[in-house]
Amino acid sequence: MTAEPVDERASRPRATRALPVVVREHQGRRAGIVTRLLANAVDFAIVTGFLIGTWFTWAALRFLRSPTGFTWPAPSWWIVVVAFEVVAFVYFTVSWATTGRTYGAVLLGLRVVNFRGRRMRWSGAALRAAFCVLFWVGLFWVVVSRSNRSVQDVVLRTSVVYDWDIAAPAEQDVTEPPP
Amino acid sequence: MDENGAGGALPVPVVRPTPDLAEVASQVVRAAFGVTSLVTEILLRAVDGTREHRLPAAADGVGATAPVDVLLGTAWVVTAASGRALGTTARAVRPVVTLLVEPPLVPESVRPATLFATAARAWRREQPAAMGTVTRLSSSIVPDTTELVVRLVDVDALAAAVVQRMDLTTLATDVVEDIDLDRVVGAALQRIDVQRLVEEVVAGLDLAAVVDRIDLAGVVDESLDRIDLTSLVVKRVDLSRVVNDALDQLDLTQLVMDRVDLARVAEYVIDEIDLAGIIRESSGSIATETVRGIRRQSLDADEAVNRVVDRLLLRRRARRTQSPLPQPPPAEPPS
Repeated sequence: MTAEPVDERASRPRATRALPVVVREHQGRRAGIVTRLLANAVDFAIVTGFLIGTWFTWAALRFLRSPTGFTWPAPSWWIVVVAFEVVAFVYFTVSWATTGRTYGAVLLGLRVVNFRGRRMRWSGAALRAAFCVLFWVGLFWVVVSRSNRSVQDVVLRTSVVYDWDIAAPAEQDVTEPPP
Repeated sequence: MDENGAGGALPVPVVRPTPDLAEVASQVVRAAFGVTSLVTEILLRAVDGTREHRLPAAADGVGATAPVDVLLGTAWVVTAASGRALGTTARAVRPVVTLLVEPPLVPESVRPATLFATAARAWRREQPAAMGTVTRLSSSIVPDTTELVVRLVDVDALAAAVVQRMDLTTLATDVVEDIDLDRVVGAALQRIDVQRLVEEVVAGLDLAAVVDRIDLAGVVDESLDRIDLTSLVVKRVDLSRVVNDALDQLDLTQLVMDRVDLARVAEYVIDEIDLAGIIRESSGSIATETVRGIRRQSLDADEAVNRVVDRLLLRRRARRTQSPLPQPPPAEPPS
């Protein structure tokens, strides 16, 4: 096991200075349920899209192999669920261990960090991914948590924080508080 | 006519000292001889142009041997002798004449002296009128006389001789110094219709010939060198009106379409401004703004949900959402 990777971006509030003050105050704080649900919805759509694409690819391969006897593939329900969870697991693990963000998190300006505020290790990321995939309901603990933590966050001491580190910050968006 | 004369008539003194008759006669005779000599000289010079000027005869010390001089000299001597004889006679005759003019035992009113005095007074009364008549006559005669003199005399030669003898520069300088030029010019300008004068001059000029003789380019260059044309135009010209009038008279659109290779310009502009880059950037910026808007709204929704739930759960303290992540610096107070 290598040394814990350092998330250099966490200590570099590059774009936060150009953000509106109200938004800037939230940077680095744990995100609420709405944002996290939206991010998960995007991720869900991505995984679903990936599965559909895989299904189409599979169908095309079947057609090429036997054009005359082609029928659309009709996998059983449990295979779809398992495939979905596997894909989601891989997707989450890779995303959290490499950048700390899934694509949904990128869009919504979220980042997953460990208890030190740094990017998760592969093991931690895999553990959290499995936890999230198998017990996704745990996300809704955020609603009642005093610190905006899901069950996974509480157990694994992770945090999902606002981190709008996007490109092209517009200076004119900066609004100072009234004196 | 009054005694002092009027209308420029000769002034006539009323009281005059009584001249010595002998002295007056002597002077008159001398003057008569001078006039005679002068006339003779002029006539002789007219007849013989080579004759030398001999008027200041005493100065050159040459003896008077010319026949005219002999004649005049003889006449002068005779006249002088006659004058002396006349003086002597007068002195001898004076008592007799006095006796005749003022005879004794004759009433004063009928004495010849009284009659003469009366006649003299009468003349003195008439004298101003008589002299006024002379003045009037002279003023009517002078032009004719002047004309006659001008016709007889070679005025050009006279003027040339005068000009030759005079130091014109000094004279002109003195005149100019003595004259109040401002007043003269002012008065002249008041009396002159300058515009009409200039119009007449211009009408009489062959302007084309004048212009041909002028180095117009040189004059214009010199003038432009001396003038700050830009500031002059900016100060004096209503530029906006000029430009607007010019634009009113121009069909700018048609002009541009006729003269400008619009396709080439468009190609050049598109090449220069990297249109593709701009479209890319602007669409990227739109996407960024959209994403930012979604994030902002979801963040607000988070806050709203948190508040509602906390209120439902009767929580008094706000949530502690700080993460181990380094917090951004607080907003700087406005200076």
